Amino acid sequence: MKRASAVLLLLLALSGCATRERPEGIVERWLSALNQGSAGEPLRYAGEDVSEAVLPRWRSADPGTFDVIEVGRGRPCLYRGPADCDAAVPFRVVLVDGGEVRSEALVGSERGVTDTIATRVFAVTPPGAQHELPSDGGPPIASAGVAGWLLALGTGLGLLVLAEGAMRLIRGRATD
Amino acid sequence: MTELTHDLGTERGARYRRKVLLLVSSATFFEGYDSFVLSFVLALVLVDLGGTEAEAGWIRAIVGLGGLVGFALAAQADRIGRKRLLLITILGYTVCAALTALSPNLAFLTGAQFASQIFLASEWAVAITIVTEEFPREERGRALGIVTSMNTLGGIAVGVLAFVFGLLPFDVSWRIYYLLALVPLVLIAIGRRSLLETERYSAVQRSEAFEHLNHVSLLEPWKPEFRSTVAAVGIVTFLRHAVAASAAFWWAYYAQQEVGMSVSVSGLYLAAAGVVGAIGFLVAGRLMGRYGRKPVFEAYMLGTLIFGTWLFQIHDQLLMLPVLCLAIAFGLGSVAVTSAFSTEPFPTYVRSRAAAWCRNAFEIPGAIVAPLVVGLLGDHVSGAIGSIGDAMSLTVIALIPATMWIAWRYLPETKDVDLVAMDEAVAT
Repeated sequence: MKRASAVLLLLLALSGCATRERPEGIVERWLSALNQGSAGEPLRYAGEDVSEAVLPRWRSADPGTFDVIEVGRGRPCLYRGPADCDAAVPFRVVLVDGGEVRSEALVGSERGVTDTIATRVFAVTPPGAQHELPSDGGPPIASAGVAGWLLALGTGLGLLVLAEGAMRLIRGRATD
Repeated sequence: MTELTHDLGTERGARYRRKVLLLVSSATFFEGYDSFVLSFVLALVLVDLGGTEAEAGWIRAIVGLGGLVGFALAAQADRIGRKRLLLITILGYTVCAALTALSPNLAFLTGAQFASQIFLASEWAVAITIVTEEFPREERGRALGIVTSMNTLGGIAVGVLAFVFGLLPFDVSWRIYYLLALVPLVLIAIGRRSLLETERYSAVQRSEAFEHLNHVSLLEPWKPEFRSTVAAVGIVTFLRHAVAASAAFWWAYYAQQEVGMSVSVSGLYLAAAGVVGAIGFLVAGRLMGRYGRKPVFEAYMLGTLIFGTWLFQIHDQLLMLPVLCLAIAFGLGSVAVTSAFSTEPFPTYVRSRAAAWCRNAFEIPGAIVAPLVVGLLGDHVSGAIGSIGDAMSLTVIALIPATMWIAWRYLPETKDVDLVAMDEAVAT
């Protein structure tokens, strides 16, 4: 049980180590929140005007207005304005009535009067020339890589040894 | 002792057993219905009762814990009898469904759903025990396959209702999903009153030889003679269900957010794959009656390893459907075999408590922990992997080999187990 707990803690710690916030994830959360209407609180991820640009009158919209939400891998952003732009993230949403919005979300830290505000979507722009989503054959926003697959195989082997050890211990005690 | 020597299934005919199957299948059907309907209507509930996504996460977690608490109730079947517990659970669940439909706020709804899970989780354990005890061994595998397949059909029923409601010219409240369930629930509750106590349980209760045995302690299945089997079944069900529950929880998210599939198409895929996948349960039931529990379980786990890993690497929407069908058939269908593992190796006086340990104390925690870990690793904002698809495939690779190993090494083959002889051995 101790080893099982250690493996679980290691997994949780690994996930906690990844402190960098992916701009693609922020865009996706914003769109998902927008899709929930006011209950989703999309203003946590983007301003009122930016949200209105994608879904007009979102506050009174029913949940589930978007039938598809798709976000692609972001690319470095050259935008200069009232915010430090981290990435331009391509996305598309398909409304249940069939309408489609393809655009790019600019993600970064808005500069306030005294300090910077948390990373948010601060603008949406028309899709650029490199607008490529996973469904268009573009890359996924992230992947495990070879190291991740090898780690999973190693974890599988470790779990097998751990379970075998636990069973031998339990059997040994039962026959004592 | 004469009662102990009755051959199973000879006193009560095939007609009675069909009735048993119908009346206990509702346990697994409504478990599938209830777990799916909450996820389905949660967004509407938040708008109606006022709440945020963060609160929705808390509701899911608290409701999930109800299944764990259900352990204490499920274990009572060895003390008060299978029939009585089955009646208590259906009445309790019906009341909770009515209370959910009438919820004035989120706290009330969470409480009603938490209590629902207690009754549902107990009902599952006692339903599996009843099937094991009422059916002769040559029919047991098939019967377990039918009962467990109802779980998938319960989930599909929600999709069918949603489709029908979508055709109506007016909006349908989320409360209707719970109110509609009351009609069959009341009918089943009335029908279950005519059920008899299982022959095995009645025989054990009448026998003086069993008076010295402990029918109350929750720790009885951990006595030295059962400990190794309970632990092996527990580890296997924990790992298997961890994979199955994570895949069931995350597939729709993966399809919609990482493959770009629409909500409606992913719902259609899930319904179609659920119907095809239900065949996996039935085939498992047939095969384990012919070839034995262990070989069928190993074959199903191999199928889960292959199709479960592949499913979350597919970005082609056409290829997704057949692989989803196979992953559901193998991954979820194997529960027909694990339900045999969690009941058949144990004598009647402790069987329900052993099933409760395997199901409520191991399987349900697996269903809570694994989706959480996959979510943390695959979180698109801060996860170490950043992809739910990859996190899910890696989880399948990490957990299934150990499941297959422990099942092969430590689980007993129970295809030909004679429950009467097992009870006699315990008595003497």
